[in-house]
Amino acid sequence: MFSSKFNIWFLSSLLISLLVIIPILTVSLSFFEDTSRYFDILKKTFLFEYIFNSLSLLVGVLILTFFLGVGSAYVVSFYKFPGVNFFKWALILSFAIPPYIYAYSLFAFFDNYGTAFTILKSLFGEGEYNKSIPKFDGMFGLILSISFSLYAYVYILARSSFLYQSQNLIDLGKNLGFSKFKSFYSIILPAARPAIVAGLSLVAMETLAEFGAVDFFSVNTLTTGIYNAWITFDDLAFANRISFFLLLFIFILFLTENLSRKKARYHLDTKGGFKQKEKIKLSRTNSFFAFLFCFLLFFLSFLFPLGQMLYWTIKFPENFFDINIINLFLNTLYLVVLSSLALIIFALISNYGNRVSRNKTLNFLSTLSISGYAIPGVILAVAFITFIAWFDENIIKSLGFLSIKKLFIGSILGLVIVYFVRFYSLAFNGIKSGYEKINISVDESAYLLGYSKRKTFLNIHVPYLRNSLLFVIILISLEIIRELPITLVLRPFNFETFATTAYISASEDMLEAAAVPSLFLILIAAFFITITSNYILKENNG
Amino acid sequence: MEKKAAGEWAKGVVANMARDPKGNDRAQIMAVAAGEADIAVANTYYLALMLSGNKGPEQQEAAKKVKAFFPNQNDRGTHMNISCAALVKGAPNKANAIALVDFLLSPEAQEHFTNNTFEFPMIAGVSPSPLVVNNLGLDFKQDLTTSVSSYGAKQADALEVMTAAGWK
Repeated sequence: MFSSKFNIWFLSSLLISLLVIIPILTVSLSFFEDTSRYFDILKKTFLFEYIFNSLSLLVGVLILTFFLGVGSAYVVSFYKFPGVNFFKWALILSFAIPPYIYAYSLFAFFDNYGTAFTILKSLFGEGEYNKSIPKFDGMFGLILSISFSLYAYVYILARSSFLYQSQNLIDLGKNLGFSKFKSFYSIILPAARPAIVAGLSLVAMETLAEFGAVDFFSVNTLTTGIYNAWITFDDLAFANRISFFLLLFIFILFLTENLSRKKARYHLDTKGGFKQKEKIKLSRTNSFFAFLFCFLLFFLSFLFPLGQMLYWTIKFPENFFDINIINLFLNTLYLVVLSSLALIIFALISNYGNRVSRNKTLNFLSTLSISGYAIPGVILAVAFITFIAWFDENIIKSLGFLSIKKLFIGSILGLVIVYFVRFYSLAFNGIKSGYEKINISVDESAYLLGYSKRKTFLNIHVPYLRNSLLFVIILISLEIIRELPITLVLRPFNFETFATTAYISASEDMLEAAAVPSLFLILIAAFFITITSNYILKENNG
Repeated sequence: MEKKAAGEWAKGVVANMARDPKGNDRAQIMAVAAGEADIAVANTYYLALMLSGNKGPEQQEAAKKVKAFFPNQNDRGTHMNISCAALVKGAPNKANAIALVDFLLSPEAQEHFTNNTFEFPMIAGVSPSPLVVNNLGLDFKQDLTTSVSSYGAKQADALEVMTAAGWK
């Protein structure tokens, strides 16, 4: 029975699933290992604070991204006002700003003697402005940084759901004599609930995994706790125990989202009843407010950090010559090429396997293999080191082989493997949605024409999937260029990316020098977002 | 016993903090300049860096409002951080590594350090940057009784004491 299932699709899915299971297992097994005394000390002092801070952060970010994301999606999808076509697209540029760069910008602008001080001084002359400038740092600054960087997840999903809401639904509200607000609150919003919840849960995962911004504002959360346990306390088992708590959090989140989805049923009435919506033209005053809201959001989420980093790059031009931008670009490109190749090859194999075999075990393995995205980068990196060290010590050496540690830790190979686990769902789902558009009858016709499975795959599927593949590569590039914790922990000696250069400058009290790599990171990411914006916003492919 | 006394001291420091710890050296100096706190602990070379104007006129102005203070002068003297080079046991290119360290300790390299990082020189015959000499002064006693090698040995204890005192 097993032999028929045991083929290359099965094998590749199994391999990736193993890669996902290893960190989870490593983290859980840390409870059987000895830790240093710090775990006991920490249990008495900061562990509760780590958990409390992670929770507060999560709640704060979810509330703010809900209002920003749903609010902007609503205004842009239902109303006509000056600039709406621009904002529809411009609001996703915030993806180009990772939370840690937003955090640097907030600090650079508002802290003592920062940019705000300079502006006030040049406007009003000498004065004691520092005390009257509000400080956006600590937990509040962190919530702002993450929310402005991530609200676009909610915006994109809510908007695409609003777009496909039928005109009938809106007419229904009108016929019932509902006010705009009541229509929104009792008809539009509930119908878009699954999309909004999906967006919010993406935000939640990213928030719990956030490392750079949390570290910069010195807010003790579970993520920074893991990193510090490893770096300052030099205690891997302890780091893994904190990871366990964070994974538990994420698991509960997962369950809640799934349960909340299952309770309700939604109908997407696209056949017959679908009437293209007509956007409502707003009165002058309301137009102005809609414009103001979108402009402020665009300004705060994108122009403000971009402007601050640009200002510092110009103000301290010597930093521009201190870093080798071409080198950083090539390093990033190298990682993107290797990771994309590995991800796409495996994602193609698994998807093809799922398409031709429809085997339940294989389906289950596929689901498991894509869940690595939910595991925070810090956990993946630290667990990976723990596992390799253990494997090297207990298996390889006892068999009499040479140590393999160097091959995986502090090497490009190790880095790409961990990226693979974290970003596999991007590749898998991207290709899957491409495959879903190729009707199964295409395959059948090919077979009828005498094509082999291999030929069908290479000559028919791959050309069809070209756009999806391109999209996947760009998504992977976007993730890798912004990625911080995995790269920081696992990169080879002297191998830097824009993100690690910015981080190191910021943590060594050379924040001004972080502006140059940050600026380039933003520009490259914004370029990628711009060329794929149609795809991201699902304008042409319903 | 020593640890207990250190713990009491650490608790006292935490209780006296003007704000939750945040930011690096320059942020501490600027917070003092802005009146958020009376004193802050920072590496002196950041104060000199700010005074140099390399980080903009605002920071130069802030640095002028702050004075350096070297504690512990009636006892063993002020602790000084060291920037050091070390050779890994079994390093493959020992001779070249030693040559590099020798170069770093040459007057030429030391002058580069003192004038660009504003740290103190490691060898005699090289003077600290004029910014350091004129603004911070050289008239202070350095702690030469505590051996550098004890820093590493006591680090774990220090972290434990600070964590237990609620030092963030």
